[in-house]
Amino acid sequence: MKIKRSSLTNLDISLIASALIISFLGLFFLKSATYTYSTNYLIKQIIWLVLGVLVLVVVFKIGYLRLTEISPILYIFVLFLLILILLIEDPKLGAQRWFQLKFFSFQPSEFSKIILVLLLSKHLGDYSPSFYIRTNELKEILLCGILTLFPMALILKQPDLGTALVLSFVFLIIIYTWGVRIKYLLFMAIYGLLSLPLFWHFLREYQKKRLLVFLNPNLDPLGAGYTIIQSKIAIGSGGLLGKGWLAGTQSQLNFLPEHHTDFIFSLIGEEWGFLGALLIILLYLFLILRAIHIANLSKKRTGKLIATGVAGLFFIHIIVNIGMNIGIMPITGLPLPLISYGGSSLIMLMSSIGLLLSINKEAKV
Amino acid sequence: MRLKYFSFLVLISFVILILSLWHIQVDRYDFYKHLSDKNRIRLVPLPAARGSIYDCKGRILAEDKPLFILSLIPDEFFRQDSIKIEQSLKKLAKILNISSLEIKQRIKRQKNVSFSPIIISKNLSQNKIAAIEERCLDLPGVTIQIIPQRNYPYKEISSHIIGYVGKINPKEIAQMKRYGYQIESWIGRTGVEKYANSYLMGEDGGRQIEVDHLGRKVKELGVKLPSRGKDIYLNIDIDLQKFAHELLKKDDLRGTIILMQPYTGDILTMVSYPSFNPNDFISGERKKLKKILQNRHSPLLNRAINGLYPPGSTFKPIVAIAALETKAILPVTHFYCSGKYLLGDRFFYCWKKSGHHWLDIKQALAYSCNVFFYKTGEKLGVNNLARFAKLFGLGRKTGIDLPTEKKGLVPTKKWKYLNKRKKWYSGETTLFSIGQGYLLVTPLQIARAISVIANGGYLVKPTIINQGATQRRFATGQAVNPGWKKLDISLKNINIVKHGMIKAVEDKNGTAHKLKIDGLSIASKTGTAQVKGKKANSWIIGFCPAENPKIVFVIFIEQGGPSARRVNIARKLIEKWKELSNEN
Repeated sequence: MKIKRSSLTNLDISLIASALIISFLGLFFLKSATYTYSTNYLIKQIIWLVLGVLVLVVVFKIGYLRLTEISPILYIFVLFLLILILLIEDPKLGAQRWFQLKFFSFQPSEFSKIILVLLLSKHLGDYSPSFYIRTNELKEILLCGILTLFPMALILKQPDLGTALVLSFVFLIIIYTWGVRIKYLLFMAIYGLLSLPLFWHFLREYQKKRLLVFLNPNLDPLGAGYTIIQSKIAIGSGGLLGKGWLAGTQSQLNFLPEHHTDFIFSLIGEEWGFLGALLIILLYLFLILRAIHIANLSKKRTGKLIATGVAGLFFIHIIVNIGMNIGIMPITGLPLPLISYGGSSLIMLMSSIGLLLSINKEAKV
Repeated sequence: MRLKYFSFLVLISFVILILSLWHIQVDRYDFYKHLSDKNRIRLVPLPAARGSIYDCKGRILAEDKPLFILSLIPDEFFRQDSIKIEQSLKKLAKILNISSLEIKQRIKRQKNVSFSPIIISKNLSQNKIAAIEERCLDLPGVTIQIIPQRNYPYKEISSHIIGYVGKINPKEIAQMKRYGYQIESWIGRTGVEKYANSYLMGEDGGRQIEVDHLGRKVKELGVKLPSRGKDIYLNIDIDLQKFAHELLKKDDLRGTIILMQPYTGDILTMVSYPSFNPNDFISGERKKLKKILQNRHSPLLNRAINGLYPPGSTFKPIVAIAALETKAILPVTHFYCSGKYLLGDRFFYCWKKSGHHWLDIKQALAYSCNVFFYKTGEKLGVNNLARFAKLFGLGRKTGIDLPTEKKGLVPTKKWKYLNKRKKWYSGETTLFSIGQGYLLVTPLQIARAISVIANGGYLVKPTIINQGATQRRFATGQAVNPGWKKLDISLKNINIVKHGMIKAVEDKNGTAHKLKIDGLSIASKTGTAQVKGKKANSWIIGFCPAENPKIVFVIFIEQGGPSARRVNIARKLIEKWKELSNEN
């Protein structure tokens, strides 16, 4: 009995609770977004959620250290999948992001996010940026940069700009936490800015369009601009208290494309109002701060880096997704964590919560 | 320490999010609330018109014409109560003369975003437009739109050159379509429409407007004006084109007629028969399209650039130049033709059974003696024949500004070994030297090869699009008047061959004597190319005026029999050309 109790106290109940509450509320939003034309989405998402919780338990039981050890294998495997997806998918049928299996589709780029967190943390966890190896610092971060660039390039080829940006953010937040000199970070920031025009050159026509439309929605009133305006109308008309569950006219009448995935937040804003949206944002905030807290507790450098990486993952998704829903960020197609419809993303996030729990447990022992 | 800064960044970002959300949901609540329920939002696509295509004298060959369509915005239409919906449907059905069930089906088939218009009926007549405008207030959500539609006034006369446009496949735009609404757009499928598609195509626009419950515009939320595509001018003279088309059509002759300027490569006329009406692809009538696609004479095939045929005797001028250049024969060399030629244990015959007796190269060209060329080809060998055929541009694309050009075939020993796994027989060289056997050309390649003789040794690139008149911006990588490649052939030898070809018209025994027109010197060569199991194909090629050539002509008739019978087509064509050029 005693052992069991101690293992329970070592569990960060509030973290699990906030993740589960968000996912659970997500089911309600999803129901509202899809019930008019199909119940399939809801049923599938419930199955994914159950599987996600199982994955969370398994990851927790295995422990983050063992997973970190095998991260190079996972990394190579995910690179292999990313190459495979480019080879087999028909480019005529749109973005090549999914493996279409019989009962579900599978999106390897989602898993590349958490695997990159593990791999970079493993590599940098072995070194301390202490005074003695300062000379090697540049070498280490360059290596990390190259490890980030491989999956990033493959994902950009799909083309999935949003996920590629997430990977670069993961890289930055991890080397920052590791303690790279601010000088190098600044260098990278400047080079990044300088290479922006070059980067622009590689973008697809529709991606350029979306970025330009962000600056001026009137440029493309029927395309991406249409979505931005519709999303803002939906959220704005929700007001303080919202129109009520299943009562959002903008979302229900299908004015909004993708309102069960990337634009589900506009449905939250419309039906649950400012207070509902605030609740979700505060839950996310709690979750992220909790992850940073766990990073602080961890005595191992690897654990610290992983926990920060996970916090960074949640952070960038939330800011970009909600930002684009309310029109202060360009449309890049990132899901809202734990809420947007999609199994790969949900499983990946649940396993990252499992990692946080495992780091927390080790820190408490 | 660093984690603290990160927490701080997180906090700041979230505060910004919450404040922005507050701004939209609380500060501007009334504004958005108003947009969301009192008013409706209407999407008005503004499709861009495609650029027009003109001939060399500015006559329209392809243009976008306005088409009136009736469309319905489902959001506005279905907000009425169900009795009124039924009434409106009945009214619409009455005006359009179709059943209301049919209208319902059309709505169901196209439903996309609730306020993007659905097309109910195309090509409205004037009185239908008037009838609908009258009842506009009783029919919420029903609007009349004007969209551009491609039209080809000359129908089947120039369809192979101009091509046609087709609707973009939904799969082709799947990538861009992820967010928002896409206008149905058209892209070039063949011909100039395809080759210059990006130049001709405009950029679609659209308008997102707010309307009140009566469909009146309250405010414009966003607009992007369409921009029209750019125009293109062709080198084609549609009068000549039409005349050439009639020549073939009159006797229902399958084949092609090409008129080209030998110095510039400008194509004045390129006709292929049977032809098709490109407007059928626009209206999309199944029955008509089926008829085109299932016709066994393949009317879609542009025989001038996509048809591959043995050149027959029209290859002889090239053989003659090859022989003179390599000194296999001299201008004074005479061969004896007895009507047949023995090689190994096989006889090869001249078309004239009694033989031509002694003749030199000029006479051999004028009378088209096969035996003379059998002997010349034997001296030249297959390597030299292939080398000169390639030098004159056979066996590779001419680079004309049309899509899907074929490159033909110039056989060599190596080619035969690689493809047939057999060695080259000397009898095949014999056939090669009169343009038979494996050699395959497009009629346009022959036009270009004959231009070399007409212009004194330059291999031009045939062009349909007039680069000068069309804006320079349409870069095909070619300047307006590029320095054409001068072939390494002496002018003296070219003139010998040219005189042989003039003799074919001037000499009363020449194969093209029927082409003789007073006051105009013409150089010509006829050809009757055997095809296994079918009637022979006939060729008439040449240029005029012989001394300072203005045009090169190639007439090719599929299974036209002995070419002598077809010479009058060339005669009529040249007379028409002369008449038209005198007018200017």
